Amino acid sequence: MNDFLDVLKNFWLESGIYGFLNGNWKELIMIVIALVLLFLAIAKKFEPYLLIPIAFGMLLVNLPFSGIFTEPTEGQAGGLVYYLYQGVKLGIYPALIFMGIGATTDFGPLIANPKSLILGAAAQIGIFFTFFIAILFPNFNGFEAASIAIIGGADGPTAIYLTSKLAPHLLGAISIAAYSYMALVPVIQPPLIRLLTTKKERQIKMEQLREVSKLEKILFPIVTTLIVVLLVPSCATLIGCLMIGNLFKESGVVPKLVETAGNALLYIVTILLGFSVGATASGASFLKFETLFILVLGVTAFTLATIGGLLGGKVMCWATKGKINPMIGAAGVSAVPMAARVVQKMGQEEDSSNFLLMHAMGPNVAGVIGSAIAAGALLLFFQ
Amino acid sequence: MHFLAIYDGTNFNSSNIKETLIIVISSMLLVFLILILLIGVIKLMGYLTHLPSKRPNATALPDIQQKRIIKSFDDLSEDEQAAVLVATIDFKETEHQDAALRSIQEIKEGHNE
Repeated sequence: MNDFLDVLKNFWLESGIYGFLNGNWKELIMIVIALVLLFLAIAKKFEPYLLIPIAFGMLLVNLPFSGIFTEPTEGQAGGLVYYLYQGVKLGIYPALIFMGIGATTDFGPLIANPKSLILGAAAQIGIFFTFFIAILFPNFNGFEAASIAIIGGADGPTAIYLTSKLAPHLLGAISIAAYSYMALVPVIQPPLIRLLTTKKERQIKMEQLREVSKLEKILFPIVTTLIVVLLVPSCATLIGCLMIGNLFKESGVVPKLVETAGNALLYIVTILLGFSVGATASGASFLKFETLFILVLGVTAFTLATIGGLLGGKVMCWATKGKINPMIGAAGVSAVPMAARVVQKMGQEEDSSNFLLMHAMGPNVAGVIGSAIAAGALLLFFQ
Repeated sequence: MHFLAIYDGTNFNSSNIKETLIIVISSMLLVFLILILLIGVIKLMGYLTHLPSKRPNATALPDIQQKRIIKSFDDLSEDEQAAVLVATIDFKETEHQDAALRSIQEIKEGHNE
């Protein structure tokens, strides 16, 4: 009988419920946050492909004694997520995701209107202004401020890549902030666009883009890699993977690689990345004042990036005597293709015959390149 | 290539305002300069591949009366695919029901003025 009671007692002591009752209240809060994120992802469709694995990873790691993130000890293997996390820690997953993005991205609108790159650069101002603000906080050092600022690039893989290199202990908070704000593009950007542009500017119709030859599309990834990586070698991983994926697509001779990189690989890595990043958000590491600051600074970065893009758009509108609709500057923040769709929708609200989607896609993909270069620039200073 | 990696991030804080300004300004300049360089190279590429910034000739557009029957989405050009996607997504979002797109037509230059 005593043996049976011992078994029951051990069962109770090893259960998660006992863990909660013995001071793991932070984990309980994290589970509630994970459930809220799951609700937002499933019911509201906020970046569901990323938020579902992130939220579930968060849920799992906060269940007491789950041990999925346990480091290996002598003679005992670690938890599953510990091994999966090595892909984040070594910067492998974000790079592979960039390859998939490259394989599914059409840089045609950017090649047809290369001035879009200016808007992609203007939107990166948000990153650097936020870096300046973040460094004023006594809580953050240079590594942490740079990792927080990159949220303004509105590019999840770039944010995760830079943070994994500079401040891996902030991965949970930064990735959740980055993807949450990307999902909130349709909420954050329209008021800023209305605030900074006039109705007349929003009604500007842009000329049809010129035709782009196949040769130009093939040359673009090669030339971009050569120029960018020669000047900023620390961009090699992100830009290299983005461009090789795009070269697969544009070469037209490796359809199976395009299919694999743009579908299977992209989604497999998305699962691994989301799940392991979510698992970094344990109660002890996430529920701090710093996380609150990161969330506030993240939205600041995103707002400043949108403002930077819009101001760039206004300058280009003025310089071209009204031929450029300044709204397309807001798409320079990356967040492909959501930011471009916001511009298209707002253009249609002003005039149903105004189609800005392809014009906004130029700055949108320019923003991806711009944020990767910005991350490379920060790595140059702090590596 | 770590010639610029002059700052120790762990000891870099609010007392390094001057260095922060240097990083902010030089990083912004770097991003702008590289992207401006890319603009030049892309323009040069367009010129060398004999496709200067020529927009589609309005007279060269097919007559809108000349209908083409398309059986597969893949048979459409990129512009046509974009038009189909924009039209159907917009319809789905505003009307909340499935759409059956009957036709698309290219608007001649000048109609969009």
